Amino acid sequence: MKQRPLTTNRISIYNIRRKPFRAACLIIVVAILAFALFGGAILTGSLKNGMNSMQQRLGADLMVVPAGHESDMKGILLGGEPAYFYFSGAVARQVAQVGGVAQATPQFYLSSLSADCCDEAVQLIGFDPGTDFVIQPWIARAYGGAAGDGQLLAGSGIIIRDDGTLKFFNQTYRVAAQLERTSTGLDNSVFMSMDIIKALAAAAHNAGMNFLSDEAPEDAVSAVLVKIDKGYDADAVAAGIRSGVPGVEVIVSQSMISGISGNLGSLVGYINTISAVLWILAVVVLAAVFPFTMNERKKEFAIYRAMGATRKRLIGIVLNEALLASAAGGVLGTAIAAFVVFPFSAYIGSRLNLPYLQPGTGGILGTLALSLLLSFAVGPITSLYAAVKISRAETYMTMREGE
Amino acid sequence: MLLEVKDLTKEYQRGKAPFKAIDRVNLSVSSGDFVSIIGRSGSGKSTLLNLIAGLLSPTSGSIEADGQDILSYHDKAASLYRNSKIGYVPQGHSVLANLTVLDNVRLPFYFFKRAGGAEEKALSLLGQVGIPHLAPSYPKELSGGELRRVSIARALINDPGILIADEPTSDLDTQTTAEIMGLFRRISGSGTAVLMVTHELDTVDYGNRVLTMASGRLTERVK
Repeated sequence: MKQRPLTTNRISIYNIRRKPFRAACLIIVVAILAFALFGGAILTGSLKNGMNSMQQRLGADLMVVPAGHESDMKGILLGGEPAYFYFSGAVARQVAQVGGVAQATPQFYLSSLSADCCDEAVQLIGFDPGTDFVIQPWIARAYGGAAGDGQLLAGSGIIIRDDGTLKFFNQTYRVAAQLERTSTGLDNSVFMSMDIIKALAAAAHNAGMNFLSDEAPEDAVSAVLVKIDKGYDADAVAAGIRSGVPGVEVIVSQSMISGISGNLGSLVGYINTISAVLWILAVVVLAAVFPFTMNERKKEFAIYRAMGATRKRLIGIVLNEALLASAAGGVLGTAIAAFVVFPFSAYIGSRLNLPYLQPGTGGILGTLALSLLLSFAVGPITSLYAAVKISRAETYMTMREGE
Repeated sequence: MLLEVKDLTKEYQRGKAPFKAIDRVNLSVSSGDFVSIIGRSGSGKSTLLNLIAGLLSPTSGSIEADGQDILSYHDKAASLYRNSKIGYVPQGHSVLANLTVLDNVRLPFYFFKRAGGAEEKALSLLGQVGIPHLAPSYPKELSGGELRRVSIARALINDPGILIADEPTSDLDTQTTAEIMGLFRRISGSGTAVLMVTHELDTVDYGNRVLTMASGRLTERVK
């Protein structure tokens, strides 16, 4: 068989092949580093992404709900836990009159059931197309249009029938589009106009499910979403609503986000710290290991020099070996991280109990490229000093020391 | 003149006192010479060879190869000198464990840009040193004598003007020693100068010049 030229790369490969244990140790250290870098970056990226998505989705500065239903509202928004609660539509009109309120729009919530009448138990959200400033702009951005009359828009987690319809309380509606994932409770919600949801409430009532025992269905609303005027403080406007409109609770979106982002901040900080510690540990271990391996190979390098290898070639062989081991470790570590993080993203999100939205393909590829770059670089960087040192040693002395 | 060494001195620090391993050595080598340097252990023989091979820097003096001052060379030129003009057979076992015998022999060919490949020539050299069948083997499968033959074949791959061998028969049996000395004689007969350090007096008969090293000083014996 024709032998191939002995390039720097080929010499490095032969050296690695013939010393599998030495190479395996380096590969494992770099693989741990790559796992921490890529896995950690995807995890923190998903949490930040989830947070941003939630901030965008809330879309309102204040959410006014019946007193005692603050946690139900948060459950709908964050956990997708179906709930319903109502107060009089007059509240929406009163809220709109409070100083500092620029826009106010009502929403109507209904829960479907896990029964024959319905496809599945999800949150149904009705909005007023005339005043809505939260749902429609999002739909326009995510779907690129508006739902037609009598049509629904489904969150990303909703399972739609093959014929493109959904059935609630024995009423079947066509689904205009399914929205992209937001990592909030809204992924498990179905959106519709106020007319449709009121019709569904009436159908539920007729079927004997009395959601609205205390209020006239035509007038009831579940929440009033508020956008405040520029220059007004959200807490001050919330206080004005609480004092001016009895029987309501006001959720300040920013406070809710701050609370979540406080938890998220600690978790992200924790993950980043672990990644940084592992990175430093890998660098320290490799920087300590390389001089040892160089020392062990003194005679080998002296032979290269005696045969006429330049210092540059010697450094090239050492760095190339380190690069090959780093590359193998980098690919292995990121592959393991990918197998852990991607298939279990839904599980991780639910366990963390925080908004978790995986970055898009571009973001993942960017993170992958950066993780691989850092992993690939760690071997050559940590071996550089030892390589230069061994290349500068006087060959005869090195050969004698290596014996 | 192939090689001209003038007033070469190599001084070390031994404790607090300076120690001259090589003391004002002069040596001229022409093409086809087979020079044996003999002397007791620690007399400076190996140090002299390594200075000539460019593996060690002298304290003073000059070394010229083909009229060129090798001490003025920067790393690339010095490496090219070791790679092309010198064929070096170090003391002891000096074969790279991670490469096959064939790859060990052809390795120096690839350190500088050259046309063609080295496989045929490496196989031919392995034939000349009597171990063509060991080409695909790894060094750990070889005996001491076989390893020495690999080193010699490797030293000849780039057709050097001078073959430098540091105690090439130190741990070999009588028959292998005779075979290697016969090989060196053939090499010098083909025009490549051989400069060999040895402490085995039997081997000097193969060469045409004998020099004695004692306390760093070199003197030529008339044969």
